[in-house]
Parts: sequence; structure tokens; C-alpha cells
Amino acid sequence: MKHSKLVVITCLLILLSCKITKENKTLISAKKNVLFLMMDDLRPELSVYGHSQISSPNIDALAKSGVTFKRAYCNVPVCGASRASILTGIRPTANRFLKFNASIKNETPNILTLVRHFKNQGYTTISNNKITHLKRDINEWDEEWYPSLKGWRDYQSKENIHLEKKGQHGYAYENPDIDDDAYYDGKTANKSILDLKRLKAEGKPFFMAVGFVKPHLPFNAPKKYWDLYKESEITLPKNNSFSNSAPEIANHSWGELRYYKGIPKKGQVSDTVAKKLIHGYYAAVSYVDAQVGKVLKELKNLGLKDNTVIVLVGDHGWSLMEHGLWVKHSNFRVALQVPLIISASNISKDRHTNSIAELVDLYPTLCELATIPVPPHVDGESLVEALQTPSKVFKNTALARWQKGETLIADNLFYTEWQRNNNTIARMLYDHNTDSDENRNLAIEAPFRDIVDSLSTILNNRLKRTK
Amino acid sequence: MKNNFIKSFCVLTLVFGFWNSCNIAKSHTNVSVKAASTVKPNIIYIMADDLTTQAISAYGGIYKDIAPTPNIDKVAKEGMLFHDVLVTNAICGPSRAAILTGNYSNLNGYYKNESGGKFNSEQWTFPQEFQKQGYATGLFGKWHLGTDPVGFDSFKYHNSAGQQGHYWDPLFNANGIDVKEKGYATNLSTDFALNWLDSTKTSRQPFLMILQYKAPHRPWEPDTKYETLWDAIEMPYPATFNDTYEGREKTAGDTEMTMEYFSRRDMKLERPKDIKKGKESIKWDFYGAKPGEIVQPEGMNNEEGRKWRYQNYIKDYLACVKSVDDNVGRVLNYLKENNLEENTIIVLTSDQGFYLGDHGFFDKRFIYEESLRMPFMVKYPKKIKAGSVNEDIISNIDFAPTLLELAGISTTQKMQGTSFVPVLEGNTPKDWQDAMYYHYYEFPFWHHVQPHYGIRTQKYTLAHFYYNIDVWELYDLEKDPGQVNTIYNDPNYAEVTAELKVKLKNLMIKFEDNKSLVDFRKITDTDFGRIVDNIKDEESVQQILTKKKN
Repeated sequence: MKHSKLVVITCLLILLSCKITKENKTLISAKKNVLFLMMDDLRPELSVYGHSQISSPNIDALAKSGVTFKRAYCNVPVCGASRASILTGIRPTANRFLKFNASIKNETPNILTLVRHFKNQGYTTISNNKITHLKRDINEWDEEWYPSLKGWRDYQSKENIHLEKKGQHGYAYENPDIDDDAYYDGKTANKSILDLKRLKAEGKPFFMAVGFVKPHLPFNAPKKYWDLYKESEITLPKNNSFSNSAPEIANHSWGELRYYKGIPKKGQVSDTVAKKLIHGYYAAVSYVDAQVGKVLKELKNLGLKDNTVIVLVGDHGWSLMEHGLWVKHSNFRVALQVPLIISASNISKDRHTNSIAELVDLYPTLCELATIPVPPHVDGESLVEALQTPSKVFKNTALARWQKGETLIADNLFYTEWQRNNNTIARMLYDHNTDSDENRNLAIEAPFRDIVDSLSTILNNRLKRTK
Repeated sequence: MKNNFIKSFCVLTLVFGFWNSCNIAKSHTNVSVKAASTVKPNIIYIMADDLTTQAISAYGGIYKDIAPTPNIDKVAKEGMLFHDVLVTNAICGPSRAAILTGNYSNLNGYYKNESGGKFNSEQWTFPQEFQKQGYATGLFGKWHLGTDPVGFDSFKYHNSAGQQGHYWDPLFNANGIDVKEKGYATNLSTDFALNWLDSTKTSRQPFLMILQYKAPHRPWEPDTKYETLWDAIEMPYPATFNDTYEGREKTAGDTEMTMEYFSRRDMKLERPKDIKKGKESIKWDFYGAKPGEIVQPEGMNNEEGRKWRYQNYIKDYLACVKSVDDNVGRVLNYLKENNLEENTIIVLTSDQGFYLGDHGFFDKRFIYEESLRMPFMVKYPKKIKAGSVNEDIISNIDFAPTLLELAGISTTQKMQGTSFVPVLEGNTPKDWQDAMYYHYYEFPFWHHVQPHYGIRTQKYTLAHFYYNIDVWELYDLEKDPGQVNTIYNDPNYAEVTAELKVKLKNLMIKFEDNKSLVDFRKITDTDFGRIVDNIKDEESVQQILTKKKN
């Protein structure tokens, strides 16, 4: 009896010990690096967006290695606010992220910024030049670098330097015959190249944000980039005056440009100046394109490209005289639409998508591409489906706001309304299928009243849901 | 929210229908918005130090009417009260390490408090996972693991007395900087916690807050308002207060944690003014902790002295618990006032149990019930039925996987523990664990408890004390709940013993702790270092007390 029990026990022991399987040590999946290229005031005025007059070979090449969003929109068309929204993953509202100097620290204290989130996952985080509008607005950068602590206008021409020294204002552009590195963006590219070399040697995953400051005003670029364009061949937009059908509240006086010498305090610039400004914008685009190219080339040379998610994005659009307007600061398409190109090893290459992207979507998208968790506080949605299947439309709405104007983009409809004391005081509705230049405001036409009411309901429901 | 979404969807479809009829625009896709991800729950994990079930009125017991704990009881009443949550190694640091990693000491490397070194903070812990998933994470109060906490956005932990902390005017490490605070530790830790909760409001993140009280750990110093609370009454004595340790002479009968081992400091005796600070005062304060040293007023006989010490001890201990209970109430009020009750999971527990004169002991360490059982209750209105009671066997390595699952976080991290979310939902799986494995290593300091390992089922406790003795003990918990009668050598239990030994062996294999006694002893003998790096040449309390005279 006793003997048999012992046998049973022994057998049991053997059986049970066989059941124990040694599990492998948890595989740590290699985290992807992120190279975040933040462009300042760059609207999709690029060859890859069909603007063949623009020389943007480097950004076009990036597009060949990834997916280009033909319909990407900022959530607020001003620098500081748009960047704050991108970096926190939450939407701008009537109460936060309103102006150029929006502050993450003051307006959303303790928010889990994209930077802190990546840092929490063990990433090295670097900010080179302008990522947040305000300096030191995010504490978690391992390094926050600026090319200079001097003024941001960065004039190099003798004339502009002289004017500024005298306490006057410089011109809105300059074209000295100097090297790329004379300007901040050239310096920023060089610094980023050195960083990439060091980051590769260190071997830790990195989140490197490179903030280029062109084509922001003033349109300073070395002469060779101006020479890519003939001013005589530059044409002004057809809709170069403010439409009668648009509400006056949609208009603005583009104060940012009026700072500069040669720009009148009131009224439109002359056609000559307008062409000069557009020429300058183009030159600045080509200049910054070359700087982007230098960084991307180094990434490739170091063999880091396959393991790096690259995002190139503009913080908002810009008006080059459309509606008779300049700069950003409006609810028109030109101020809201941005270039957005994403490249990563596991997504489509050389493809365009018509799926809508909002800049608030970048936070979850970057997390998913880098294979880190998407934190629950974010407002946006990951765009990864669109990156994997660009032919399909996964998302066809967006929200944007400027001052009191709230815009709902619903497929091809661009609807904006302005409210005061809970009364709607003005509306705009454009159908981009037939009127992408936004010349005919359908909101004031009687047959569209029902549509306007419905869009208004949707817009206001969405706004209510945005905390 | 969902309604709004559906409404939007329908309206837009209508819009487009109309639009089409106008023939201005061409076909349209429906406008859709992805449903927002489900709301993540907040978690507040409250863990007291050395708080035992006997001191919580929700568990009943002899103090429930004299020293009730209404706020702690409220958590149980509104959630689930657990009767069989067990600790894998019943001392502070090792229990905390097991909770954080979901692994036994033999995997997490933190075996002992004394000469146990520092917790290896490079390993995975569950708060790190919450932080990575986008939770706001905070730690307040006791940490006691040597290395800095990892995985917290914000922390403030006791950083004096080898991280045991002080009750009054304690020193805290606040995110890397030492700060001395004025006040009583239990209140202060709650202040920090509630301030932090306020600050996370703007973060929009769900939160994981770990609030760990130093109380009611030795030296049991009550808040001023409770110092004389029970002066007028005599506290009752537990059933096994006069345990004679018969048949257990080498185990329970050979400790330094009986009523004879209270020190002058424990008894709150005032140190004479002429005692020099430093070594001299430590020696004076700790007099009583060594064999042969008895602290009691002159003129008392042994039994009177023993009772006097117990009365001092239990009143101070329960007064410390009272402050914990008050502060749990503050946390509950905060949640109510801030409309956070519905979506916040509250866990209330302790690092292990404690002896309140049971077996004539204070302290913990043994596999015996009072120290093995952890107070444990969880409130989460969305998933847990109010007032439910559970008696399944759960252990502290099961906490981490459970909290992660409750937050909907999946991880590839290997943990030895198992999530008991189904238990919380009232659906205990049929094959739920029916036994737990225990292993205690620290010896001989403090309290001289022989290292032992063992198995605990719902009916039996089998333990092997092995360091410099070789003693097995078996208890029938139904017939002998007080565990005063070991039946290991009772032939009627031979079969039970054999089965339990097989089960025990399987658990040791399962938990990768199937080593020789020689290897086990090595762990006890190994000096893994101090928990904090003291100033060079400074002696620890242990060294001062055990130093032989030259």
C-alpha cells in the first residue's frame, strides 16, 4: 500500500514537472526612431502636391519613400497653438491653444506631451530649433537646441541688417549670395546631422524633432534658390481679392506681413511686390527643401532610415494673395491645409492618400508607428490604416478653428460658422468638388439652408464632445 | 456620446442625400467618426505597513467595537472583501517587490529587509507599464526598497531611518530631493497624494496612484489626538496570547518577537537627558530588544509586566490604525467631491499581516495565519458587486497582472502571478489556484524567526523550517484555526502530508524555487548590502545592538 502510493506520487511528480515549460525571456521589440520634421508656414506648395513650378526635389524624394496626405489639415492656423495641439495630442478649443504664443505649460499643465511619452518609453528626445513656439515649454527634452539666441528674423543682407540696426524694419525678403549655413535652417541641418551620428553610436531609440523656420517670413534665402524662379513667370492667384459672398469676419488685415518695410499699412500690395513676395516664398521653400535633404541623406547614409519613422509636416497653411489675403490666420482652405508626408518601413511607398488627416492625429500615429502605446488622453486617431492602404478613405472629417470661427470639413464640404453670445453671426460653406478656390459661399444661398443646418448640428455636437 | 455619434452619422447621410438631389456635388461617402476608446479606469492603491486583519472591523475580531475602522470598512461594503489573500514572504521589502514585479523573491531578487540590499530597479514593475500606456503615475508615503522608484511621474517617499521613515516631522524624498516636512506622517502622505490628484486633473490622463502609509509600523507612534484615546480601558487579549509553543519549541517557541522583546522606545519611555545622542541613545532606546532585557515598571511581576507591555503596544498600534482609517476617509471624500467614484478602482491592503499579541507575538515573518493573511479589499462599482465577500486563495504576486487587466493593459512581460479579475467579477474559474507557496529567508536578525518555506491550502498549512533546524509543521486550519497544535507526526494525517508535499514540490517547481537547502541557506547567509548607503563607518542599529564587547 505504502509502496504503491509512493509510486503514484513519483509518477505525479514526473508528470507535473514535465508540464513546466521554460518560457523564453520576453523579446524586446526594437523601438523605431522618430525623425520629426516640423516646417514653419509651409503650405503644400510643393512639386509633390502638383505645384510643378516649385523646385522641392528632396521633399519629393521623401514622398517617394512614403505616403503623402493630399488632404491634411491643421486644427488651428497659427504657429504656437497648432504646435501645442500636435505635441499634446489634444484639440484646440475656445479656451485653449488660441494664439501664436500658446503655452503647453500654462494652458495644459501636467499633460502627457508627445515628448514626455516617448521619454517614458526610453527614448532620447531632442529638439533642434523651433518645435514649440515658446522656448522651454516642454521640460522633457534631453536637449533643446537653438542656433542662436539673437533675433529670429536672421537677416544676413547688409541692407536689412543696416535697417534693423537703425531701429527700422527690414524687408520681408532678401537674396544675398551666401552659403546655406549662413541661415538658421542650414545650421539646424548641420546640428541634426551631428546628432544623428551620435545617436547612432549611442544605440538608444531617439525622437528627434527638427524645426525648420522657412518659409516663415521674412523670406530670406541664398540667391541660388531665388534664381530657380523667374519673377516674370510668377502669376498671381485668380481669386486675389476678397469675395463678395464671404462674410467680413473671415477677412483679416494680415498684420504679420505689414511689419515689413515696403508693405503698406493699409490695402493690398502692388502686383510687383506681390510677385516679389511669392518669389521669396518659393525661394524659401526651395532653400528649406535643400536643408531637409541634407538631414535625410545623413539618415540614409548612417543606415538608420529603415528603423526610423519620418514625418514631414507644416504647422498650418499660408495665403499667397488668395482672397486678397496674406499669411495664415483664417478659416480658408489655404490657411488650413498643410503638407504631411510620412515614411516608415512597414507602410506604403510612393503613394498618395485622400483619407483626411488632422494634425491632432499625429500623436497616436507616431506612437503606433514607433510601436509604443497610444496614451488614452489623446483626441486624435491613428492614421496608420491610411498609411497601409492609401487607396481607401478611412477618415473624411476634420475640425479646425480660428478665433471665433469653427470649421467642419466633411468630405468635400468646408463649413465654417462664427458665433457671438450663442447666436450664429456668420457662415461659410464651400464645395471643394466644384469650388476648391472658395469663391462662392453657398451658406448665404437659400437652397442650401437645410444643409447648413445639418452641418451646423454636426459641428456643434462635435464641439460639445471636445473637452 | 455614442448617441451623438450616431446622430451625426444619420444627419450627414441625410445631408448628402439632399446634396445629391441638387446635382451640385457628386457622390459622397458617409461621414464617420471612430468611437472614442473606452474610458480607462483610475486606480488608487492604498497599502498600509503591518496593518493586519485583526485590526480592521470589517473582518470582525476582538477590537471591532472598541476600535472600529469605519472608512476602511466602507471600501469593503462598497466593494469586495477578501479573506484569503496571502503574502509570499511576510516582510515589508520582499512583499513590496513581489507586488511590483508579480514575481516571487527568487525571481525579483529581493529576499530580505536586513542585509537584503537594494531592489534592482532595472527590472520591470507594473507602474512602469501604466506610465508607458499613458497613465499619470504617482507614489506617496513608504517605498522602502533602497533604489529610487521607477515608473512614476511624481513621487515622495520616506527617506529617513533606512527608508522606514519617521512618524513625526519626517524626511521625504520628493522626486529626487530630500525635504523635511512638519507634521504626522499618515496625514502628510495623504496631503501629498490629494495634492497630486488635484494636479493630474489638468493632465486628462487616467491615473495610478500608490499611497503607502508608514503606519502602523513599529514604533507605533500615534497622532497626538489619539495618544490617550484608550487610557481608561483594558484592551482584550487574543485567544492565543498565552501560547506555550508546546511541540513548536524550536520554531514559534524560539523567537525574539514575543511580549518580552519590546524596547524602551516601543513602550514610549522617556530617554534620560544625560544620554548622549547617537550610539548611546540608540542603545538606550532599543534596550529590551535583546534576550534577557525586559522593559517594565518596577514592582511588576512577569505576568503583570507582560500585560502592561501588551496594553501599551496594542493601544498605540490601534491608534496608528485609526489615523490610517481617518485618512482613507479623506481619500474617499476626495473622490466623491470630485466625481471620481464611479471610474476609480480602490485597492486597500497591507504589505502583510501582523501579530497583535496572537501567539504572544508582535511582528510578522511566519507562515502562520495572522502574518500570512493580508487585509485586502477592492472597490470598483463598474465591475464589483457591493458588499461581496471572497474566500479564494490569492497571493500578492497576483496583484500586478490583475491591476493591468483591470486597466485593459496587455503586456508581454512574464509574471508568475495570475490575474484574478474573474474573481472580482464574481466568476471564480473552476481551476482557480487551491494552494499558495510561501518562502521566508531573513535570519537571525530581526526577531530570530527560522527561515521556512511551505504551502497553504484552504484547509492546511504545511511548513518546513530549515536553516539550523529541520522541523516540519502541519496545521489543520478547520480544527485548529489558532495553529497551536502541529499534527505533522500524527499518523492520521500521513496521507494528507504526503499529498501536500507533492503539491508543495510542484509549486516550488512552478515558481522556479526548487533548490537545495544548502542553496536556500546561502540566501539567508548572503549579505546583499544595506538598503541605503550610509555614511562610511557608521554602524547600523543592528550592528550597534549585536556588537560584542571587546
